[in-house]
Amino acid sequence: MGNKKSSLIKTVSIDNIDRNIHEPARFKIMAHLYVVEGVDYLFLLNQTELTQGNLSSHLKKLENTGYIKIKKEFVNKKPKTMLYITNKGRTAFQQYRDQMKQILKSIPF
Amino acid sequence: MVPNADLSQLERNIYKSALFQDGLVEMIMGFLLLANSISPILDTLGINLPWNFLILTVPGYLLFLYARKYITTPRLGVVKFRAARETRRKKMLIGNVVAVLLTVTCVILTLVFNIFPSINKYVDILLLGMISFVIPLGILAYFLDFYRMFIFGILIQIAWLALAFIDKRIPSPYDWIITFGTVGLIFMIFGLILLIRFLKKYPAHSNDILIDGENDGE
Repeated sequence: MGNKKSSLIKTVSIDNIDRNIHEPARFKIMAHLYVVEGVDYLFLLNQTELTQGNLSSHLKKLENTGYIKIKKEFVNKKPKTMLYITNKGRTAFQQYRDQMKQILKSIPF
Repeated sequence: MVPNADLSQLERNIYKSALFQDGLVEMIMGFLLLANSISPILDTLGINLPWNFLILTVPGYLLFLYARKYITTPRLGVVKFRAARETRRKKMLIGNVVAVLLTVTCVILTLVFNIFPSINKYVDILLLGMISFVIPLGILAYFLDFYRMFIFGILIQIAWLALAFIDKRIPSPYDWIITFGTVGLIFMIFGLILLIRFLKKYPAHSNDILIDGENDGE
């Protein structure tokens, strides 16, 4: 049992955690995009309650890592900046959750 | 950060905030009841069912759609839900159709064939109201994740019981105005409070906001 626990800590080290998602604001963004098909910038701004500048910088970072894609679309004849999570982002987020679960489980209380 | 945050709860919260935060559903429900309460007045003017109800409800629906498009969406933004949510919506539609069919069957059996034996005026209304409003709206509330819809059904039930109670004590159409009008007004006021809160929380954005934080001039 003890060996199993220590091997788990070895395989899922906190150092290996995806820091692109680990940052609280980016985790919020990724969690919101993970549960829906897509949202526009305004919706995400309202939901995350981040400032425009803060949200924009985090979105750019996530776009650069390929976790989200930003598209200009017309919704009801109005231009909207739509945000979607990519397959890579979805996998990374799932992986992050699994890793964090394992890390928290391995911490003795 | 909580890694195993309940994502289904998050999705439900997003869904609720996108559809029911603005109080418009409560307002339309209140409007329907208010329309119902003054429909006997149109009846006395020679405008009978279903025209009197249509005259009063169609503008309400149009106003609702207009408000959704021009008040809610520009302030709240756009969200596209995943297929699972769409499946739930389809289930809701099926549930709704079943509920309507159940209601219609019960009403026909009761009114036309007089199939249910009359126990007592209040018990009859209670049973009929349960089958016609409380249960169907409860089913709808469950599938929509919108539990105020169930309260709406209970309030309609209370309005029917109150109408039976004041029967002959207050002449028609005032009895309808007092009972259904009061319940409708409660919902309208509640919806209005939610709408004001929503307007305060979400300021208007006439144009699309770009990632760099500047508004897109149309």
